[in-house]
Amino acid sequence: MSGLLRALGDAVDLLDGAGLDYMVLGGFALPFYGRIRSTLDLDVAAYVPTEEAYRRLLRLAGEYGLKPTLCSYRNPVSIFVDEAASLEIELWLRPDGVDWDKETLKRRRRVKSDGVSFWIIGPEDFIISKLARPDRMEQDELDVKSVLALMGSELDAVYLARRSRQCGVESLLSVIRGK
Amino acid sequence: MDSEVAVEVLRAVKRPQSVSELVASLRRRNEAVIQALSEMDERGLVERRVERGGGRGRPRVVVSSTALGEEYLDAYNRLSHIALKATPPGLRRAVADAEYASRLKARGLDPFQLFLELNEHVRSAKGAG
Repeated sequence: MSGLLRALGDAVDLLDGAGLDYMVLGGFALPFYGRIRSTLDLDVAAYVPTEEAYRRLLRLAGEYGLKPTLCSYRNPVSIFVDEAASLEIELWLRPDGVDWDKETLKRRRRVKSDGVSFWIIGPEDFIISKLARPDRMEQDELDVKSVLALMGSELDAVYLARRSRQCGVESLLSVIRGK
Repeated sequence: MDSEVAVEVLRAVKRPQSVSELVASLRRRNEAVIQALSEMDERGLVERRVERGGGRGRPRVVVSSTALGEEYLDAYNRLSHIALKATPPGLRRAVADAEYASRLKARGLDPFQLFLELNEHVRSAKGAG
């Protein structure tokens, strides 16, 4: 098993062990919906409802081979290091461009690779998360274009339109679609 | 003043934090962050407040955004979303890459496994470099 998948598996086991809802974001979700490109950023969004739940997560981390570093409930992102793989995992409590709600969680997808099962962000929310992030880069738009090209009619057009309006990226999405 | 650094700082200090917390969360050099904070303070984008604890240690400097800083960040976010960052050749390339991924899948290959392999290569190359 690759070090990347092991690190992801450890993070997922920790979140499952802590009873927290989560979904994998960014470059690790992209190959399920669009192009295949390299990234070393392993981003996971977790819904951690209280500071107590967060403290419990930190206490449990060692049991799963994860070392908390730069961790604070007040920060939008916490960094964990997977000690076996020597890789960092960014755990987003308040991910850029993603509005946590029941619908986002309902639309996440369960995937499996090499014996590791995990949740990834749904394709429509993936698109919105890429376009609505305040530090959007060219790569994010290219990722969106690849998802639009590959998923095509499989995307829920009504939901995507509504979410893009809510997040103020409707025009941007329309321009990328048309290019 | 480097506007990108300023924006990173302003995003981070939406919730006031100490200079050391800021350095850790931005993952930039200590000196670079302190220099940026000085310039931003002079321009009225942030304010630094010294908090003295009861102990004998060094007082804590807490950084927060000013109203002007919040306006600066709002304007940056608004404007940075207006124009596309990708170029037409880049977008065409992204579609070609997506079509390639689709062909690989049709041939029975697993795109996520290929992604993992690709990234292991990148990791090894970075480790070697």
